Amino acid sequence: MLFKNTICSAHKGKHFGNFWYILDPLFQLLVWIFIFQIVFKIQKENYPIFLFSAIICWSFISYVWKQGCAAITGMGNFIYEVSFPKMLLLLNIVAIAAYRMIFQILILIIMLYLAKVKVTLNILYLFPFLFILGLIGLGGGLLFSVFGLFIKDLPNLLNPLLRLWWFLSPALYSIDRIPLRYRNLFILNPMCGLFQTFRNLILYGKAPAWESFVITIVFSFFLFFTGMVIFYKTETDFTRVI
Amino acid sequence: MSNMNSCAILVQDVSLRFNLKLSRSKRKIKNLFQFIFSRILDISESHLFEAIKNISFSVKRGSVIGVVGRNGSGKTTLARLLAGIYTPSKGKILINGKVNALFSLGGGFQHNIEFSGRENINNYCIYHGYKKSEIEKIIDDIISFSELGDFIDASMKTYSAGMKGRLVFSMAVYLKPDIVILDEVLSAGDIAFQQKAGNILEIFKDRNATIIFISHSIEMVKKHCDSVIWLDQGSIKMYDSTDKTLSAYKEYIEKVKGTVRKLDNAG
Repeated sequence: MLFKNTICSAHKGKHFGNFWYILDPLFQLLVWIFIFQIVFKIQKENYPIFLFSAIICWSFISYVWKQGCAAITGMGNFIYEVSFPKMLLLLNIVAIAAYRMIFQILILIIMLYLAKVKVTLNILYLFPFLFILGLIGLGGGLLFSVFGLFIKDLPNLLNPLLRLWWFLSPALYSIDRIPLRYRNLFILNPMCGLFQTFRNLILYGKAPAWESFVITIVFSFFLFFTGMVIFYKTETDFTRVI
Repeated sequence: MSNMNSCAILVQDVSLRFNLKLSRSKRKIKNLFQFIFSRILDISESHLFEAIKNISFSVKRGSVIGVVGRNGSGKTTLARLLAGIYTPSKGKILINGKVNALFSLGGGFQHNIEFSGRENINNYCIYHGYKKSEIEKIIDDIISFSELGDFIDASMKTYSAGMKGRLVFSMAVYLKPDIVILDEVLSAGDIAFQQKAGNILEIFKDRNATIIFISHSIEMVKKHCDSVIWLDQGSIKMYDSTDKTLSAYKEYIEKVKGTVRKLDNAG
């Protein structure tokens, strides 16, 4: 019942063209390709797919986190009208993010087909992978929605931090470019395992990059658990602090 | 146990406090930590406002209870507490059945004011946990009952207060709640609407629904209610039969009028 409600709300929210969902990440992709492959003349096999896969994952996470900040505060007076499980608001955001991702993945599939990339059985790992991705998104969303109650310009705070995190992750470049002595530290970044694994599964047909992915998994569970606990502990008091 | 079945609402030692300085506080991060790790709203601090002060009462299923009191006495706060929108700082509220609370002018629609009446009905039902199939069954009845005609598909920006009230009210009829809380919903309506509303209340009574009727109109309360709660500054001043409570309340109102007249004359 809860799920259906979420889907319905998600559909209600979409009054703008679906086109935008593809346009923004594609545009990013073109810009980065231009900078790295044309300006800096970096050579990397299948760089567009390499990059686009990271953009898709990151787009999902940053969308849910940023929208999550205002999930509760943005409700306005409606929160005083009906008593409903506030989790719905966040599931709604995750649903919209997933919906956007579907379009992006379609483009990705086209790119994979054009590049004649081989699909292996390892692609089945995508299901647990998407689950982990969802945990990161939802956990952060829940957490930031509570923070957003008190820190009204949380999105402004998040923007530069997320940008920094993006650059510190192997999104635009491969982890091989990081000097060996820093690599262990680098792997502590959960996005490292996330991007590496996604590429392994869809581009290289390999199994998940377990060494770094384990850290991603631990991070996702920790974030989700923390977000859930804090959210549910304070949910009954939301209406008194807005 | 049989007591619980006949009882629709049970309020036990309920208090509700607000921290008035919270929105103006400069120490936001500290507040956030307090919010998460302890119940910031209930720490003994000087700027805590106690909106509801330790009230207890019970409501039998099928009864119609009026709630009267001056502005700011806590009527809407009580309505929200019963609807589950607020959680008490202290005490317990036990509800037996499905609650539907309607607030004046359906102000909640502010969020969706761009959408049409039809879309808002849909959203309201979704938030209340209705499935799409269930909504489809009742939406046409709701629309015809509201008598909004073509306006149902127009943006709610174009609605008058009375129209919003009609929409909200029609939803209540068809959502078949066990407990209905009406927070001054009938005030924004002309004679025809008020008559229709009276009929609706009869329908609820036939269904043995429990009704909490908040109003400033003493005539309406007298007409429809079995007993009346008189709220004053967050406490229950009186909870008795309609006649007894209303006459006590009327006396009080006359005294207030007298004081206001004196102040006006003095100035």
